[in-house]
Formats: sequence, C-alpha cells, structure tokens
Amino acid sequence: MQENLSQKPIYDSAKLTNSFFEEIKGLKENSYILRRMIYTNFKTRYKRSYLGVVWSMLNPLLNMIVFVIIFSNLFRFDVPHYPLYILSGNMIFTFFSQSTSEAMMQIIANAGMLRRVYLPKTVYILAGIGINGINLILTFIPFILIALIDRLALSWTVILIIPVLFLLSLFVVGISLIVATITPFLNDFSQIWSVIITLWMYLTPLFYPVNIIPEHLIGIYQLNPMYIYVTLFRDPLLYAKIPELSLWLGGLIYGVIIFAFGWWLFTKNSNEFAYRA
Amino acid sequence: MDQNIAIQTEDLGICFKMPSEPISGTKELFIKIAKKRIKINTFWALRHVNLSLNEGESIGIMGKNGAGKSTLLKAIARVLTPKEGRVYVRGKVFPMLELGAGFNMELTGHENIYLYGNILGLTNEKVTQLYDSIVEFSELREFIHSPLRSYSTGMVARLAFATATAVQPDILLADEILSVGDKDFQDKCMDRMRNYLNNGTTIVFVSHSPNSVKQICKKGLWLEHGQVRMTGSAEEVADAYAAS
Repeated sequence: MQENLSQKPIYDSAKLTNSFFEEIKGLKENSYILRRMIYTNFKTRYKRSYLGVVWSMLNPLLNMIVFVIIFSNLFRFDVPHYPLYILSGNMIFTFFSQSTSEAMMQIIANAGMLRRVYLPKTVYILAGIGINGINLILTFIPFILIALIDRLALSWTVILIIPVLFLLSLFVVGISLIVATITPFLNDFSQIWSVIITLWMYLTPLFYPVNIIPEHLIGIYQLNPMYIYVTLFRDPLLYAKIPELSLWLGGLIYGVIIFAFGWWLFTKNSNEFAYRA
Repeated sequence: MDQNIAIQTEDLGICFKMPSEPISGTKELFIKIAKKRIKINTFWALRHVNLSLNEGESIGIMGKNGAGKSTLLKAIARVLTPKEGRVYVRGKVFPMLELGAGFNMELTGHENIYLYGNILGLTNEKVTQLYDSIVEFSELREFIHSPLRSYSTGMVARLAFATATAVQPDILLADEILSVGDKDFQDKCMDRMRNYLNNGTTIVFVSHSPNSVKQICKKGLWLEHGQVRMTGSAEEVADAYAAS
C-alpha cells in the first residue's frame, strides 16, 4: 500500500514561482482527471433529453436549414455549395462561441469543487472545451450526409483541415482562458461577452460571401481571426483549394500568441479563484 | 527541510478582501468607485500560524465556528495559497473537506467512485483494483448502479468516505467527518482512521468535540480568531478548550 514512500510529492508554497510551467506539469500529471471530466460532462449533458447525443448533430443541421431557407430565397447569394458553406462556417464558429461562453462560467460553476480540492485550474476550462471538440467532430456526420446529397467532390486537400483545426483549437483555448480569468473578477462579463460574440458572428463570413464586403474595408475585415480560420477550413474542404500562405501565417500567429497570452494570464491569476469563487 | 516533516507552516496568513458594502453588479461598482465610497476590508482568516507535524503524527484542531479551522485545512490542501508565510507539505494529501465535493448527482454510484477516485489522484486501474473494497465498506452494493440523486445524504457521505479512504493516504485531512452516518458507521470510520494512524498516516483532524480529538490525536491546536491560542498534547488542549 505504501509503494511511493520514497518519492512523495512535495508542495511548497514558497516555490510556486513559475505558474506558467507549473500548470503544464500539473496538467500532465492529472491528465486522467481531464479525460474523466470530459466523459462526465458528455454523459450528463443530454442526460434528461430523449434524443440525447443526436442533438449534437441535429442542431447544426436545423440551423443550416433555417439559414438556407432565409438567405437563398431572400438575398440570393451566389455561393457554390451554399448549404455546406453555411454548415462548415457554423461548425467552426459554434465551436468557438460555445467553448468560450462555457469556459467563462467554468470557474463559477465548479466553485464547490474549487473550494475543496486542489486541481490544476486549466482542467476545468479544458474539460469544457473538450466536450465542444467532440461535438465539432460529431457534426462531421451531418456534414458528410449533406455533402453526399449535394454531390460535393472531395479532394486530397481535405487532410489540410487537420492542421487548421489544431491552430483553431490553440486560438479557442487561448480566448477561453482569457475570458475565464476575467469572469471571476467581473461577473457581468458573461453578458458583455454574449454581445461581443453576436457582433463577431456578423463580422465573420458564415452565411454571406466575402465579396459583399466593400473594397476599402476588406483589409481590416480580413484581420478577423475567425475569418481566417473559417476560410482556412472551407478552402480545402469545399473547394479543393490550398489556402493562401498569408492565411496560414495569420492562423498560426493568432493561435500561438493568443494561446500563450491566455495561458500566462490564467495561470498567473488561478490561485485567486478559490478566494473568489 | 527535515526529512521527517510532513506538514509545516511558517507564519502562515490567509486573508480575504471584502468590500465594505455589498456590490451587486458592475454598474454599482463603477458608481461606487466614482463616489469613492468603496473601502476594501481585509479579513485575516488565519495569521501567524506556526505548525509543524512529523510523519505519522496526528493533530486535532479545535476552535469555535469561524476560528479558521477549515481555512487551515484548505491551506494545507493547496486550495488556498498563502498570502503571507509559507506552507510545506510532503506526501500525498487526501482532503476530506466536506465529503463528496466532486460527486456528480446525475451519475451512478459506480461512476462516481471513478470520478471521485480520479479527483483524489487515483488512476483508473487503481480504482478498479479497489472497487470491491470500496463498495463493500460503503454497504451500498444494491444501489451502486442508481443515480446519486436518489441517495440519501448519509448514503452519499458513506460512499465518499469509503472512496476517500480506500487507499492509505500519506496525509489525511478530516473536517468534521465523523458526524456522518449512524453509530455503527461512525465506529467503522474511527477504526479505519486509527488503523491508518498506526500504519504511518499523518492526520489533521478538525472537530468540535474534545472527546474525539482525544481518542484519535496525540497533539492539539486551539485556534481563536485565526490565531493560535494554545498548542500542546491533545489531552491538554482538549481539556482547556472544553473548560473554556
């Protein structure tokens, strides 16, 4: 029973100086808790609904239908594979908006646990994002279904979405950590964030083509990281096209910088959460 | 640091900052800042606490409500990081602060054993190994596949205690846990704690009851308003506390 007598873990509050790397180490040691929490969240999420996990796939599909009905009749955008254009844009944006809005409530929602057991705090945030990641993967099922109906010709470029999703995840984790740090200090931030998300959604080409943006604004418009990630995702998936180098660079820079900043900000403040939650 | 030390605090201080008036939202916050009506009060839940405990020793912490007993446990468990001074802990800590924090009421008892076990730092393989003994000890075999929300408070506490103490921990932090369950179960818990103590576990035991402190612990610590009022053997401190 005492197999680890010789290598007992040591906690010394005087040595908690580099929270940025401490957290990575702690997370590595606690990776099985992260897996358990993702599993638990996933299991309890649809516990009290009849269709259960089917909603993960049905929801984006229904959303897409609404957009197709409204925009292909009212505005007549001329976009090839319009239903898939909407669906793919929504997959990316929903992952972003759901992950961040859930992440910002994680610290408050887990206050009971936070005040009683020590865990690396990023576990709570990553568990929330993890389940949205699973949801994102599940939405590929309705996507493939519509792709078959729409006779979309897939090319080898499809594999490029793997690095794209990786860069997107870096960005999403970074923003989630930032908003999750702000909320315990400013409870109203969740209301503000929902407005920001709505604005952000309209500034991202989810249901309209980019060419409706006026010439003189396009430069600024293309600085939007979500524009970059959505385009990086669509080009290889829908149009068999290798995205431009500038998009890759933009996606990489936003991903790495936001992730590093978010991680730094969150771990610097995470010891305060138990005092505030 | 001495090899035998399990827990040491040096001039430990933990404080909470609270606004002098309740603030209900951002708007009010801005208004009050503008009017300069806000004062932040610092409340020291613990201050100048020095404590040293060798491996295998047991200490009973007594004090009135709000004396800082639970805060001290939280500081040892790394939940609250010190604002002043230092905490040093060597060994795997099993915090039993309000049993069952970390349980999920929607999941079954079976799933919760894994969840709670993981939270306490046990791997899945380890939990599987211990699973039968946990269920056995909790006396909940018939209900183990029902959701936790159908359990009574006592049943939840039994499951929590059984899971939390399934492995002999290096350090056990126990907060008023023996108020759990019926007499028989309380005796079982006491036995288990004494058994671990005999086998080298360090125990920090918080209780209102001087008698249970005397039964379990060798050392005693009396906290008052976040400061140490008295230290000594469990016997001395418990008697002094009871007499106050």
